This record gives sequence, structure tokens and C-alpha cells, in this order.
Amino acid sequence: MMTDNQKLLEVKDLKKSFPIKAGFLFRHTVATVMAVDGISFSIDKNKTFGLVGESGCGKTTAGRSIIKLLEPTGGQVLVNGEDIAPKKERELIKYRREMQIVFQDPTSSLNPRMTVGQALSEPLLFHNIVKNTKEAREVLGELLLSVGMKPYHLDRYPHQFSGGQRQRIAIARAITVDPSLIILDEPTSALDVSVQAQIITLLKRIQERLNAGYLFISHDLSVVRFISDEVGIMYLGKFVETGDTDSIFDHPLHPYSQALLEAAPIPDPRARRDRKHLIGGQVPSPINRPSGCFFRTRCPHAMDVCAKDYPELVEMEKNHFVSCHLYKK
Amino acid sequence: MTEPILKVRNLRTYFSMAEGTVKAVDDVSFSVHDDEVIGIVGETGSGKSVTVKSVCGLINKPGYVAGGSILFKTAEFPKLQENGYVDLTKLKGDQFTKVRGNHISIIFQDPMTSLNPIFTIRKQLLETIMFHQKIDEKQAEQVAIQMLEKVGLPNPKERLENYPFELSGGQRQRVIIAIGISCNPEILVADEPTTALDVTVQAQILELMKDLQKEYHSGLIFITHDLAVIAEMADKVMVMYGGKTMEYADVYTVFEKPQHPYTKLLLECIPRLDIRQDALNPIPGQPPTMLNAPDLCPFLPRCPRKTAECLKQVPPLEQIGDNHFVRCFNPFGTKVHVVNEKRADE
Repeated sequence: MMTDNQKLLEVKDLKKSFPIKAGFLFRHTVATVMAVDGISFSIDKNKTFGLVGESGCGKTTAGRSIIKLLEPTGGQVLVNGEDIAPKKERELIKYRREMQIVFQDPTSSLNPRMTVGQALSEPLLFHNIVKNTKEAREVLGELLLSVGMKPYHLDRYPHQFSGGQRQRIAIARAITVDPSLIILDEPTSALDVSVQAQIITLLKRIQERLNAGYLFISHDLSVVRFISDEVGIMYLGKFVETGDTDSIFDHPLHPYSQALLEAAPIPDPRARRDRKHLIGGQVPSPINRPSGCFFRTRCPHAMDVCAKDYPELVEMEKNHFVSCHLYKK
Repeated sequence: MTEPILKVRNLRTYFSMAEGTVKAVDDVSFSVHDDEVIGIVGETGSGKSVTVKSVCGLINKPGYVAGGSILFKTAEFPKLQENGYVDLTKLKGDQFTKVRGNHISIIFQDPMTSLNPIFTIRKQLLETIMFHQKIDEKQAEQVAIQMLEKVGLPNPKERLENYPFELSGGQRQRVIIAIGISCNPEILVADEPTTALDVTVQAQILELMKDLQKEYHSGLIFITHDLAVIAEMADKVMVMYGGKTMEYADVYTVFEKPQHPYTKLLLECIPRLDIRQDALNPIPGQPPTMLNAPDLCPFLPRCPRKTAECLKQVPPLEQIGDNHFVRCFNPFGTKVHVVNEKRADE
């Protein structure tokens, strides 16, 4: 039941682990990768939550577990107040209409043997929004116009389009069913700079029209800053810092966030950084995470306590949470 | 100013395909001095990689250098010398191996594919050093260890025995850089060296390249699609689009007073990390396809400043200010007609 103060999506302590198996006759689990280790956040209508982090931090796994392309190992995924985490595939059909996903690479997410019209009518027919393909074509012509394409593109195949146009088609496919939540997994990473701006602008326009919530997954900090209302910065499966976008980008508190933001170059030659917080090394293996705080092996402020306990998330400012022993309430 | 060590003049590199000719590089000119970082920036298919591959003699069939010259200042090939320069497009057969690796070295984007997975780091690093410096294995090993130390790889002695898969992406890129600088080249070419890396590792590699460049005083040609990385690294910037040089100037001019409509629009459409923006101004339209492209300005279909003249011919690359070149009939600002037009920054 929908009430006014209910969130569109609420993720509570979401966990996803993958077993690593070994052996030929007696296959057994030798280790576990905690790809997502207890993250919590929520998304309102017409708002965007940005999930940021470097490769291997678990951001894509988190997105896929939320939409149940992967089975979450623990935690709750509340869509309009109902937990879909334990639900079976069959029970999920009605939620599938509410939640859609757009992947990074439109070349591999569109079937090369289906025309745009065929690919886009599938969700319409499956969810009984239209009765037949003829009706579908009428709906789709309008839809293509709304993503900046032409109705005659319906009879073309994906290879006849450029990368940016393909991503428009993938976005059109996601919005055929008027979803209330769209998961965008690096939707602009494969695109050129001038096309990236087109797609981001398109996504903003669609959000206003559908009043949809976005989960925007990206490693590109500038894009996340532009599109997100709130962000969560991930490191080895956990949030190190989360909350209001401007607050985090303007004064990051966690040493990792500080290093990450300082490492990113800025398109202004006068702003060349002399990097004080440059961190060495690389992200440790998620199979063998350090004890205590996962970031302590690269952290310039590491203390004794950091090796013992993982720090709790504490709210240092209004809607600005950080998980670090340097900050105590 | 001293003479440049590399002068690329009106370079054209074409690929003949069954469907027609792809003019991947079509009239590109730039120069590289000692101790200078030239940034080449452009989108996919703009010809930036093909430009530097031509400079390194790495264009294979069906590609060929169709025109222009690549003048390199060197003492090699006394027979081909002209005022101290050798035109690299005139080299035959394996003559190029005297230049590549030794005088001009290239670093590619993906460190996994540019190292051979079945040989150890020792084998791959020593091969280059022994081939070009003509020294024995023992001396070469000393050089190799020094190089790995220079690029900040811990335990260089043990790393020599590793296979590429045993190293992380950032470490592999460090090994590639070590191979690249091992023969102390006059020019180092880096083709998107940090694109495959995470942002914190990218920062490490960029800092490393800046330090090495300062130490070796070599020329660096740095290619990327990322304007932020260019702003960080380059002294001079060449903006490419559709195989052509669109604008060429020092980094401050390009970022602060761009004159070409493409450069200006491109800078306006990138999201910024350091400030909150309410909207982006995307450039409408698609990047050009290069197959049988018409002989017109490649940006024409997307350009808001096109004039009747643009529909007739390709604009030439014209000098409009101090070391500032623009290929446009209708650039921003007032056009300065330089009477004695000089070639790109000589």
C-alpha cells in the first residue's frame, strides 16, 4: 500500500556474496567474495541516487541484486514498501514493470537479429499494454520521437545506428512500460563526450516526465555530480560515505572520498592539482579484505583502532554520513 | 625557440576498403619540441590514434600514408638527411626499427594486450634494451631493474620474473612505461595510457609520467578523449575531429579562448566535478562517419555557425594568433589576418 511518506525504493542492509569453489569430484566452497556487504539507501520519486566507486567495489552487483538479476544473499529491497528480496521469479512479474535497467554497452544489450521495432514491442506485449504488434508500432513511434529518434527507425537493426543512438534505443526500451524506477548501469561510459551530454540531458528530461527514481551507477565522478541528488561512495562492498551530493563533493570527509575526488582531473588547466591526498597502491582483493576498516592499508590517517573494528556510519552533518574512525559523534 | 624535434606536415593516412576510402587522417599538422607535452584530443574515430601510429610507422595494409611528411630530427640515415631532418614516411622495410623504440617510443591504452601473456616481464623488458642498446644480458638486467625502480614498481628484481597476469592493471602500465623509456627516446607517444585504469590509479600514472618527462626532457605526445586529462597534462593541445586538426594552440588558449565552434561546444558540454551545474549544453547530431566523407568541414552538419562558404570547400588551417591555428571560415572573435603566414609554430 502506497502512503505519502513511503519511499519508492528502500534498500536495507543489502548483501550479496559469491562462493569460490574448488575441487573436481568434491566441489566445495573455499572462500567467499563479499561483493556487496550491507549497504542501505533509499530513492524518492523524481530523485537520483548515484552509486560511485572504482572497479570491483560492488556497485554493479548492488544494482543487479536490487533488480533481482542476481539473488541477494541478505537484506531487504523494499519497492513501494514491499520486500521483493525473497520473492520468486513468478511473483516478480508485476514489479518488473516498475523497475527497468539500462546497461553500459548498448551494442551487447540489444539483440543484433531483432529490429528496433521488434525489440521494443516485446515489453509492451509481455505486459499486455498493447494487444498486437500493430498497436505497438503506434505507441513506439511516439516513444522514439521522445528519445530523439524517428519512427522510421523501427524497421532498422541495431548495427545501423551509432553508439549514442543505440543507447537511446536501450533507454526507449526501458521506458516502454512507464517504470517508476530505472537502474542506469554506467549508461554513458561507452559514449563519446559530445554524445554523453546528449544522453544525460535526455535522461533528465525523461525523469521529469515519468517522475521516476533513478539509481545511477558510474565510476565517472563528474557525471555523478551532475545527475545525482544523493550519492553513496563504495569501497570493497560498503559505503564509506553517503548522503547529499553537494555536501559530499564540496567537502568530502572520508580519506578515500578525499583521495578519489582529488585524483579526478578537472578540465581547467589553471586548476592543475598538486595532489596532497594522492593514495598509492590499489584496491585490495575482495576475497581477502583487510581486518577492521578495509581502507586502512592505503589510508594516510590509519590508527591502531582501524585494524580492529570496522567504523560505523555516523551522520556528521545533515544527510551526510561517513564511516571512519576519525569522526565521532 | 629551438627547432622542433618532430614536424608533422599535412599528414594524410587513408585506408582503402572494398566500400571506398576511409580518410582516417586528412591534413594534420603539428610540431613537438624537447621538453614539451602535446595533447591530442578527439572523439572516437577522429583520427588521433592513426596520427600517432603513422608517426611510429605502425600503419599496415589496407592503410597507407597518402600524403604529407613526418620530419624527425635525427642523426640516423645520413643519406636521407635534409637540414638535419629525416622524413619518416620515406623509410623502407625494416628501417623503421632503428627509430621506433629507440628514438620514438609508444605506450598503448590497454596494458593487458600490449604485453605478451606468455613471456615474463624480464624477457619483454630485456628484449627491447638489448636490441637497441647492443649490450649483454647482464648489463641489460641492471638497466631493467633501474627502469622498474624509476616507474615506482616495488621489488623490481622479483617483478622481473612475473608474468603479466600476476600484475595489476596499474603495475602493468608501469612496466609498459618502463619499456617505453628504457632507451631514453626523444619522443614518447602515449595513446590513452590511463583510459583503462581506475581514477586513483590514473592519478598515480599521470603523476609518474609528468615526473619522468621533467627528468628526461623528452617530447611527449599524449592522446586522450578526456578533456580533463588533457588540461592536466598538456602544454599545447591539438583538437581533432573527422581526421582533421580543428584547433591547435597552447592549453590555456584552447580551454579559455577557444575559437573553433567544435572546441567551444565540446568544452561546454562536459560535466564538471568541481561545480554544481543546472544543465549541460549537448552538441546535437552524431560524429561523422569517415567512409567516403565529402570534402567539406567534418563538423559542418552539427555546426551552429556554418556559412555559405562552408558548403563549398574545406576551410584551411589558418593562423589567427600567436601559435594559435584554427580550421574554420567563421571562428569566434575577430579574425586576425597574419600577412606572413607561418607553419604551425616554427
